Amino acid sequence: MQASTSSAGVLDAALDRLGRIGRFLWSAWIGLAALSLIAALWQLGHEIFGDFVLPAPLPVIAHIQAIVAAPESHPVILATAERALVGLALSLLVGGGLGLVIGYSPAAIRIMRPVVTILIGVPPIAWIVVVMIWFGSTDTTIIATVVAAAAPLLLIGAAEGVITRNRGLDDMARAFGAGPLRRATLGLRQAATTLFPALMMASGTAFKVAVMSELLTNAGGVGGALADARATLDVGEALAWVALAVALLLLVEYGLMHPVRSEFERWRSAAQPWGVKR
Amino acid sequence: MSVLALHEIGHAYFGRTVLDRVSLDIGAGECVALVGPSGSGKSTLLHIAAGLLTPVRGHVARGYRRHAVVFQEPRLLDWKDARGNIAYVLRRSRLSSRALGARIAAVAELVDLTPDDLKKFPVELSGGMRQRVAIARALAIEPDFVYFDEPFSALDVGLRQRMQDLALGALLRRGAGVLFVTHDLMEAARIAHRVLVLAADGCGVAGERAIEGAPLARDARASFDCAQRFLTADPLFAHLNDVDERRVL
Ligand SMILES: Nc1ncnc2c1ncn2[C@@H]1O[C@H](COP(=O)(O)OP(=O)(O)OP(=O)(O)O)[C@@H](O)[C@H]1O
Ligand SMILES: [Mg+2]
Repeated sequence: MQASTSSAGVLDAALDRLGRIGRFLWSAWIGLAALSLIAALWQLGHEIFGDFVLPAPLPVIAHIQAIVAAPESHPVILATAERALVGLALSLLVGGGLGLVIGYSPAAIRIMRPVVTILIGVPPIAWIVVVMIWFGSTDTTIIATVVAAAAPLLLIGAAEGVITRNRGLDDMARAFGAGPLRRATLGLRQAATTLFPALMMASGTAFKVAVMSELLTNAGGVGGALADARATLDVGEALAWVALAVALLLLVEYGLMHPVRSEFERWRSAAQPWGVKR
Repeated sequence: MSVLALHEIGHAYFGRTVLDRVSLDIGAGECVALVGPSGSGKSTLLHIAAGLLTPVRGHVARGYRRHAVVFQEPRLLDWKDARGNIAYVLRRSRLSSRALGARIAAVAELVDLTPDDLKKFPVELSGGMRQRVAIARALAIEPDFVYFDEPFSALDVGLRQRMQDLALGALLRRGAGVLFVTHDLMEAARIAHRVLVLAADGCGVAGERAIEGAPLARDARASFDCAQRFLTADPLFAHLNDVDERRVL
């Protein structure tokens, strides 16, 4: 009896998971519809402004195919992806970790607020100049710039999550004998609510800043390829590289972050009305 | 022999005194109801007794082994289903997964939750069901003292009586002590050995009344008569149903 109910439970859980994966894949159609809309507007712009200002989407797609098919362009794309992701991971470690700690200390929050505002206010260009003087045209320069731009966002996201946590739950856990460590995991779990939106913003920032600083420091990668396209005034080539950088970001968001997030926020989708869910 | 003794407790929030010189004593296996107008400091007193707040003055002596608290709000973890919420407080007792399942099933039955309800997240449960999950969570750790803060206020009359009989009955039969905060004199008259009335301004316990007969053995008629007698003939309860007088003045 016990065994049969537990195996039914496992089956239920598996079916539930399959359903959720199916819904996630199914939602790709909506993404495709959005992309088609963008392509239509793009085509319209092309027909108004002409080939030199805005090449048509189809030739650009052909460009993209050519780039993806050419083996020598793979290391270029991978270099940018690696820099952005390493920068993002470091930001999460430093910014997110610091944010969690700061969230628990009212004094630290007061000190850090203006510091964070300043950090966010400094344009990434300024970081690039300073960091390039320190490290030259290397991976480290790009990664450091990404961290400088993305870490403050994650710091705010994590700190805000801990600050706005439901303190009643802390008391509840204490009443049932939980020590400081278990109560901290409660805060961490609640911080996910604000940390995930911050992480999405930070990942966008990471890719943008990585490409930009590659372009400015001549450090190769997608940014370097963009610089070459600019030198030859090849708008089609430039747009193809931009589209590739955006595709990388989409891949990271929908391949990594959304699945992890929906795993964390399963309870939220349980309460959503049908139309929002799909 | 008292299992909970509060001695001359005083408390203030940001310099505003809400409790002053409150003393109370609860013996083993005793169920004490605490009543008082809204805002008189009942929840504050309960949190102090349970060790969640440090009082500004006075001290608390606890003689029980393990307590559980049912808060005025359910205080469930949003991201865990009902079963997960109950299992959360059991993690310290290191039960085998079979024993854990049996324990959860037993307490869920005490509060009338079906196995299907246990799979739902708090957002999918009604207000009364959430409150019942919170009660089940408290019973799950097999406490020998339980603090209840208006636990049945979200339930209809029939269910309330069932919860009193099942949940509270199980505790009292095991000889656990109970401090039960409530607004409802009739509820107090049905379940408690004694009723304490907190003064409206929080300055001490205004008085106490013992109730005849054993808790939960009294029928509806007897507890209704008792509550009516308190309300109409006893000056101690005269201010109980006034809305927070201090705010009106
Ligand atoms: N965290 C807090 N900070 C400041 N004041 C508080 C806090 N908690 C309670 N108070 C104040 O203390 C007083 C007593 O509050 P408490 O919650 O103990 O009342 P209560 O008797 O439980 O009322 P109710 O029956 O409505 O639940 C109220 O005047 C309230 O405004
Ligand atoms: Mg209260």
